[in-house]
Amino acid sequence: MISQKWIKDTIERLTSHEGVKGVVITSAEGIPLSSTLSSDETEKIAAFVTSIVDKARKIINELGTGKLNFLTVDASKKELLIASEKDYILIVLR
Amino acid sequence: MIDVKLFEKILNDLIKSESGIRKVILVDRTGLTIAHASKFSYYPVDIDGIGAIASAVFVASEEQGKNLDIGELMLVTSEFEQGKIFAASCGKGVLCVITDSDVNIGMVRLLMKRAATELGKVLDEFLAEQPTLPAAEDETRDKLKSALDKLEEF
Amino acid sequence: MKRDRDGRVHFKIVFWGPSLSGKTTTLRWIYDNVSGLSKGGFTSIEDPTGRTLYFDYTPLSASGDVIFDVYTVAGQKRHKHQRKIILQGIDGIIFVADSDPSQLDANEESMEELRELLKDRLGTEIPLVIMINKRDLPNAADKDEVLEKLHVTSMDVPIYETIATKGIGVKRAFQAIAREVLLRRLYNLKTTT
Ligand SMILES: Nc1nc2c(ncn2[C@@H]2O[C@H](COP(=O)(O)OP(=O)(O)OP(=O)(O)O)[C@@H](O)[C@H]2O)c(=O)[nH]1
Ligand SMILES: [Mg+2]
Repeated sequence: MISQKWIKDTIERLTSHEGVKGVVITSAEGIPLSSTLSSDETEKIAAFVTSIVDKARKIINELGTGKLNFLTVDASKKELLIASEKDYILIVLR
Repeated sequence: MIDVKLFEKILNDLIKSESGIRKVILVDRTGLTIAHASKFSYYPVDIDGIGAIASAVFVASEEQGKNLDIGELMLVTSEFEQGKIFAASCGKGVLCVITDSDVNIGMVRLLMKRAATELGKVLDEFLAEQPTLPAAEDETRDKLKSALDKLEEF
Repeated sequence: MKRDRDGRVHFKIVFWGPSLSGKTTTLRWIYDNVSGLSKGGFTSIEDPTGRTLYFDYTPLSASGDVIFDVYTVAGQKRHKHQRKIILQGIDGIIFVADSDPSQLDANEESMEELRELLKDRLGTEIPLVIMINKRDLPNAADKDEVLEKLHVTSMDVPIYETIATKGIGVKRAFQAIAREVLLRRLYNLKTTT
C-alpha cells in the first residue's frame, strides 16, 4: 500500500541512481502524489503518462497478453521509465 | 466583434482531447449559459438549468472561501457514482466539465487550466464589448419593442 | 441585459421576499398556467419540505429573441449568502410581501436587506414591482399597513394585490416587471444615441 514513508523512500532510492533527472508518482487517476520536479511539469507528466498507460492497458487487454507492468518511452533528449501498478504509476525521467 | 463560434470551437477541442469528457459548459457568474458542447448530440438535458446551477454552485464555493479566508477558488470537483463534474474559474466566467467516473483527472485538470486561460481572455472581451455596438443597438431596440408588444398578449 | 451566443437578449428577474411569502408558488403558477410564454425547464433547489434552499430558476420568453431568466431566492434568514449570489447581474425585482399580520416585520426586514444590497439602484436603475400576496387570508393585514412597513410610499412603484395559490394578480405583476425592465432598457438605448 502507498504510505508517505513508502513514497519518500522510493523517491530517495530512485534519485540516488546516476542519470536520474526526476521522479513522479501519480495516482491511477492522473493526480500527482509526489514529485521531484516543478508543479507545472509534474502535472503535465502525470496527466500525459496516465493517458498512455490507459491506452497501453487497453491494447494489452485486447491482445490478451496479460497485465501491463512496464513501459519505456525513449526520446532523443530524455527517457521515461514507467512502472504501472494497480493504485499508482511510478515515472522515472532519465 | 468576437465570433461566438470561437467559444464553441475551444469547447469542442476540449472534448476531443480526452475520451472521458462528455460535456462542457461555459457560464458567466450570473447564471447565464454562454456556450456548450457535448460528445453525444442526443444527450438530452436542460442546458440552461444545468448552467444556472453550475454557476451558482461555483460562486457559492467562492463565497465560502471568502468567509473562511482561504484565498481564491481554483477548482470544484464533484464525484458521483457514474460521473464527475469539474468547475474552474475562467475570467468572468466558469468552465464546467462533465466526465465519466474513471476519467484521467490529472488530464482533465491540465486541459481545463489551458482552456480556461484561452477562454477567459475571449470571454472577458465578449462581455466587455456587448453594450456598445451601434448596429446591434438598433437590432436590440426592435427585439425589445416586439417583446413589449408580445407581453400584452399572454 | 446580456446577449447570448445566438444573439438573443437576456434579462434577469428575481422574486424577493421573506420566507413562505409565496415566491415559489408564484413562479410555479406562471410556469404552469400562463400560455403564450415559451418556457425552458424549471430548476429548483429546495429542502425536503419544499422550502427553497438556494433558488428556483426558469427561462421564460414572450417573443423568442428576448428571454427573461426568472429566479426566486430562498427567503429564510440563514440563506443570506445565497440571496446575494442570485442578485448578481439582476435587471428587475418583484418583491413578494406576506399579508399575514405576523409577517409584517419579516417583510420589512427582507426589504431592508434588499436595499442594503442594491443601494439606490433599487427602483431606479433596477425596476421594482411589489406583490402583496395572500390577500385571501381571513385575517389579512390592511394593504396600507403592509406597504407602510416596506417604506416605498415615496417611490413610484407598481403594486399588485395577489393570491398566488389561485394565480390571482400574478400574471399582471409579472407583466409589469417585464414591461418596466424592457422600457428601462429602451430608454437607455435612446439616450445613448
Ligand atoms: N393562503 C395563501 N397561501 C399562500 C399564498 N401563496 C402562497 N401560499 C402558501 O404559502 C406557503 C409558502 O409558499 P412558497 O411559495 O413555498 O413560499 P416562498 O416564498 O417560496 O418561501 P421560501 O422558499 O422559504 O423563501 C405554501 O404553503 C403556499 O401554498 C396565497 O396567496 N394565499
Ligand atoms: Mg421558495
